[in-house]
Amino acid sequence: MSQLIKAAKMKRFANPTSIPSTYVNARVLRDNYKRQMMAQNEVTTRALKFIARNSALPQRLRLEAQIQLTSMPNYTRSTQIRGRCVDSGRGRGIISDFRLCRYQFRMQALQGLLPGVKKGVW
Amino acid sequence: MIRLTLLARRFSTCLATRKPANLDAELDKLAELTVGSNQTGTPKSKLDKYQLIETFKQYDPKVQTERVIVPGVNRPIPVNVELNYYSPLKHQVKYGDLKAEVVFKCFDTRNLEFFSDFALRAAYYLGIPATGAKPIPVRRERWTVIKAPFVHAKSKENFERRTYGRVIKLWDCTDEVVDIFLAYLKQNSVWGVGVKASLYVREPLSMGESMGKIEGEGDKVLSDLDSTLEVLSKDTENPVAGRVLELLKSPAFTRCMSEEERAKVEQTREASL
Repeated sequence: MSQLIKAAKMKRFANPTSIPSTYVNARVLRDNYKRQMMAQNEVTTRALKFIARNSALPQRLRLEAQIQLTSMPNYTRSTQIRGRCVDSGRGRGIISDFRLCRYQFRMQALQGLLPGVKKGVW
Repeated sequence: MIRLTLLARRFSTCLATRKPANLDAELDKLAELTVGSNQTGTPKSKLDKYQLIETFKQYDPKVQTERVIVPGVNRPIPVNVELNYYSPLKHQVKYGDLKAEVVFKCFDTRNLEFFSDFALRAAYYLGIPATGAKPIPVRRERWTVIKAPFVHAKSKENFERRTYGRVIKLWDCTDEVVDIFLAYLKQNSVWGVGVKASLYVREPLSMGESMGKIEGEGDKVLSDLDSTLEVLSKDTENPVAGRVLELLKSPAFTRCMSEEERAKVEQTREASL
């Protein structure tokens, strides 16, 4: 019984985050969490990179900074973030100008919801 | 004639929504400026100053509409409304001192043409010599996507977005007038037309010397720990610089430092606080 209660209290993510205003599914939530964590830790990451890559500073300091940088969790890295379709949550075939996947883009373009986008004839 | 009345109506409705109290007075003033017999009503000096009617008479082609009372308003068509049937008037560029370049961009040429035309007229009435509207190369963005939601990668569809643009150059005027012009454009902006203005400022000849001084200061940047700390403590606006100092004074980093270095870091912390 106590285990069950523990399970109910378990959180999906280690830190509190807000839910995105887009289409939501598990993968969108995960990506959203990484985005928010990256934004929160960006100043620290940049500061550590500044120390680690500044050849004017003593070697030991730089090494310490590099160690701290590598010990930061994966969800604070910008490389972990992936573009996701705002309207369907799909992770492949994203057209980054519109933040939509190819099929959503086609549907909305044909409906005339994307300003200026027309069927291309040339 | 139908087009005329429609236009006059549209103008009157625009004015009515903005400031209904002054509408009658404004229209009276405009009516007085019409080409016709009743020129005596307006003061001569005012007419000379703006030279509206003179330029209108010189303008080619000389096709003036007849003097008709507009049904909705019961007033004749004012000169400046009449001028809408001609290409915009422009003041001559005298000194060639380029003050600003205003770029209009839109996915559609209709709104674009309308707004750049409006801007040219506004520039004329503000007394700014303006040239343009010169078209800039059309930007074509193209996307080819698979038609189906799943597989069938051989059937695709092409989409395209064209961005049209016009440039207006403003010459021989003060910065203040340019500001007024841009504010007026912003107030009367048209749906879907983006405006970008590059403003040009002339510096005196001694500018080069002061530039040299700035470079001299930058020479000693980040050559050792001292200069790094100095630069960082000066850069108060930058959150990263503050965070670097914070990290350097944290025990994880002070552990790796010699006594001297630790003292230096402590000092900079005091200075920055």
